Amino acid sequence: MSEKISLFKEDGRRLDDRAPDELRPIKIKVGVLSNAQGSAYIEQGKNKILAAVYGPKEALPKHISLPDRCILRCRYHMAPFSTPERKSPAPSRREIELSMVIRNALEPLVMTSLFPRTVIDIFIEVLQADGGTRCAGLTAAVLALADAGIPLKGLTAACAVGKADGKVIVDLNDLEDKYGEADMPIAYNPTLDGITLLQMDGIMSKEEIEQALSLAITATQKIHKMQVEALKERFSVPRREG
Amino acid sequence: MYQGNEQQKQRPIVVPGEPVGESRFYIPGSNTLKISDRMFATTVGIVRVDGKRLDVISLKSFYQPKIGDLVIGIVKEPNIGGWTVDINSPFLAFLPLSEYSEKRIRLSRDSIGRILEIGTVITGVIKDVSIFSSPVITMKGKGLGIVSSGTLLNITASKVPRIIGKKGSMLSVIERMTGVKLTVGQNGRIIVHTEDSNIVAKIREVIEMVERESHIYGLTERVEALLAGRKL
Repeated sequence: MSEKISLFKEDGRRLDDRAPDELRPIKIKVGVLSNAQGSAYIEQGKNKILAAVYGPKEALPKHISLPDRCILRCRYHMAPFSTPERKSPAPSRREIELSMVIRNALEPLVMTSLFPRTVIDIFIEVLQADGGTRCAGLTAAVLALADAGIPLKGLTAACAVGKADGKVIVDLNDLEDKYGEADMPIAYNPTLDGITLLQMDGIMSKEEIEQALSLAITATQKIHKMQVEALKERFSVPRREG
Repeated sequence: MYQGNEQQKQRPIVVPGEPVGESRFYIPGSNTLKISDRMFATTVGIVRVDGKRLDVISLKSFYQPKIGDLVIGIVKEPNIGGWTVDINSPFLAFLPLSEYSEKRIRLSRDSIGRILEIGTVITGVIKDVSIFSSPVITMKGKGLGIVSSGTLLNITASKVPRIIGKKGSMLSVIERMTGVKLTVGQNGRIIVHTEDSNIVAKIREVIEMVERESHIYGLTERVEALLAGRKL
């Protein structure tokens, strides 16, 4: 039987000393890889994730190409050294599912009709995982797409919200994800004012979901601001690539 | 939000999703997205207003083939009745045998793979573009054909107008100061007609500067200074 773990300290703050609606420290850098057409790196708490984009390029084999738009191919992958115990490098059921979920979240964002018969490859490599990697990976993938020069309908930012010890919390870490009562990753696009990813695991009441949604939108707007800053920094500072 | 001429001088960078204007004042141009009355940028770029038209000039983009464009291509593979040519675009171009040369070719004597080998650099003009099939290029025309010598350099396609300059001003500055002729393809490929590594390195530096700093005012002066070897 699992032991009950308290996820809050006596002063009402979380175990990593955050307020319930506080994000983990985020560091974003765009254009980190010189071989990929677009790339981005994100550190969100202990998460370290790289995203790279290739394309649009000719879709091969030809029968997979679509006559009116380009195809998005996404691979979310966790490095063998990203978890406390070695993870098999072969794609797991979870990774295949997350690749599909991220691709579906990115599809409404990319102006696919501009590049018919082509394909865009998106690679998300989790170097170190500490909960909320799909959201951080999605945030980085959007920046890699923008860095590659692919036309986008705005920038999407993602963040998980959830419930732990009866309180609604933002940006869950690994412990809160495992021992909390609910986890709800959300991707929000402020330009389209739309949600492109919403999953939920656990139990929350209707009021809690409404509160979590509004907290998630506030949190993603904060991440969106950081995305804009990182992207502007990439293109405004004269850069010397290695 | 974009306000007018004052900000155009400073060339602010916009990112996808950033509001750039309202459609009651401007006509949405390239790299813009109109949602109800508002206009948003779709790529990282700089805003340019030309009369009522508002464009976002992308800082990094792909070459979209247009009829009449001069392009520099690399033969990728021989095909039935022609060659597939890489034109530095998401789309591969097709060079039909009939567009190869004015001379008559007898396939009974020559195989397609021997006429143009894989990796051959050619200059051509886009003859036809369709959303359903590959763009078609032609090598028939003055100055078009196989490139046998020189050095091939690359620049992002959206910066080609900057490397050419207004009425070719930037290109003539580079050619005058280095004494070397350049062929600039609209697809972001440049042939430097020399194999002198010092001159090529200098031109490569110029291209890097144009890619990096084209949105900062006074680019031509900085390029001239770089080529003259003085600091600005």
